[in-house]
Amino acid sequence: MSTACTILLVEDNQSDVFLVERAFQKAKVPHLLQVVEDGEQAVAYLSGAGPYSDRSRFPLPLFVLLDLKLPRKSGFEVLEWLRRQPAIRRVPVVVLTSSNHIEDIDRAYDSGANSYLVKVADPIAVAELARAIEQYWVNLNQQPELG
Amino acid sequence: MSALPDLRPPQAARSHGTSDDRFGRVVQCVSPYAIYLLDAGGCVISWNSCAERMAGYQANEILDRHFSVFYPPEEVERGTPAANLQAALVAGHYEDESWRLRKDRSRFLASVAITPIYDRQGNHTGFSKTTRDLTECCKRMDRMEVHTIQVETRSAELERLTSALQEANRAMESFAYSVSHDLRAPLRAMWGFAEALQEDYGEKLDEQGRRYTRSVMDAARRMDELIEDLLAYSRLSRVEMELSSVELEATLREVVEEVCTGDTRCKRSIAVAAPLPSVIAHRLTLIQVLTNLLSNALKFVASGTRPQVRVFAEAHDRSIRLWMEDNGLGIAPEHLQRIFLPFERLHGPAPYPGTGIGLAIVSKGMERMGGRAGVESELGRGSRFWIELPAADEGQ
Repeated sequence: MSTACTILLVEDNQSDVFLVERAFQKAKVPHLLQVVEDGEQAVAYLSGAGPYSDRSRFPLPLFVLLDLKLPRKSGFEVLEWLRRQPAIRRVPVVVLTSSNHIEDIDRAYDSGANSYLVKVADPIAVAELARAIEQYWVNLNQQPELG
Repeated sequence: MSALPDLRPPQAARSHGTSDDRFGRVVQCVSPYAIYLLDAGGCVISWNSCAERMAGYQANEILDRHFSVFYPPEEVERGTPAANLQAALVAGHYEDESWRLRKDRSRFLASVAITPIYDRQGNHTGFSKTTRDLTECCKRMDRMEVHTIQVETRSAELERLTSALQEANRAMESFAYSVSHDLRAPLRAMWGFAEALQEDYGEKLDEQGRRYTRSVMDAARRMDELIEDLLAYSRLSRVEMELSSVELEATLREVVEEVCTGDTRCKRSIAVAAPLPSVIAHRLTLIQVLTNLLSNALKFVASGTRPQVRVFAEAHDRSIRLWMEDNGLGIAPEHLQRIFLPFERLHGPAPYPGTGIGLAIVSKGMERMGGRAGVESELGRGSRFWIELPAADEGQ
């Protein structure tokens, strides 16, 4: 397993996790979705700490799909922390949240988000979103060098 | 007043109102003023008859009591009476205008002056205190003072209301925020799982089972639209609107594109009587208003009828009235007013789905932009909705 095939999903809502996984399967995203449920776990995963120290099992992701409203540490905090880590600060982050408030959108970009997407309810729109993420962030986007 | 103290011994002072009492004779005739003599600690040792009338106490009820009995409880708690005496001692005189209490606990606005009293040797022996009941005494004299204080009281009240309103707005904002966050999460699950059920297990369900699943999804879709419209409506009530000159024609073209989403037949059914003037409006709100009116005009037609919408403008004084005339179902006169209220619907969900908030958005949006909205209609003869906004340029 390598960076090239891992996406880290930071999402505390189990239904949303199920629906994102299902939409990715349907969009035939040939990638492994690693899921963590709160901000602290996201920090642990990205820094390879504790249960995530084995990088062969928990590789650095191609990009992070990050919810903003999270237990223990918010998405903003995770984002701000990540951008301060010299070795992994360039990992692309795609915010995926239910808030379409301009304050949240601006703060996310100010904190270093690479993209901001709003969760949708309509399953057809969810499928389109998954396909768009696959096409853009997996196929088109050029990966930065880490470290 | 500085001559008052050494006029008589303390005993004489207590026999208030006697004819040989020079203090009494001096003070009884100045009736709009209540005059008190206080000892050094602030206890009442003498007063005039006006004081009796003003405060509502009999002489025997008030003599020897501390003068703080005239202050409202919150002032006593703050230590104001003692502070006032101290201020008089330090500065030689103290004056203010504030609220005082009568015996029946009713309040009156009073102008109060306190002066310390010294004996011939320069020892501090007490205070003289004059009180004028402003609410009664000033009717002839200086109403202005009272008015000023009333205005101050009212502007303080207004300030309080304004900040309460801002607080309510913030509460509304956070309510809308949690609606968009929290209410939508279970909705996504409900809709997504119903779809997964239909897709993965549809073949195992019979026709009735599949119909139930579709009903869940339809309900989810309606709830999603309802939340979206409610948020749009509440945002409309809260946001600051900066008004500027907006070109009606370009805006309307944009709205037609949005409503018809590339359907040329739809576009052909909308006739815009160009040129249209510019108006003073908030562009995004105007787009919201026009989108709602235009989609209603296209939606509410009898089945089998091709919708036809005519849009034209009229200049009225310094304002522009934009009309949208359709060939739709029309509205009975008894419904013309209530259709602009939130959640009011004249039709069941089929064949005219909707949340019932569209025209409420129109009405609220126009109100926020300082404009108006209205309708003329007859059942079966189409509707003519209009909006009115200030004209942007002279002569247009």
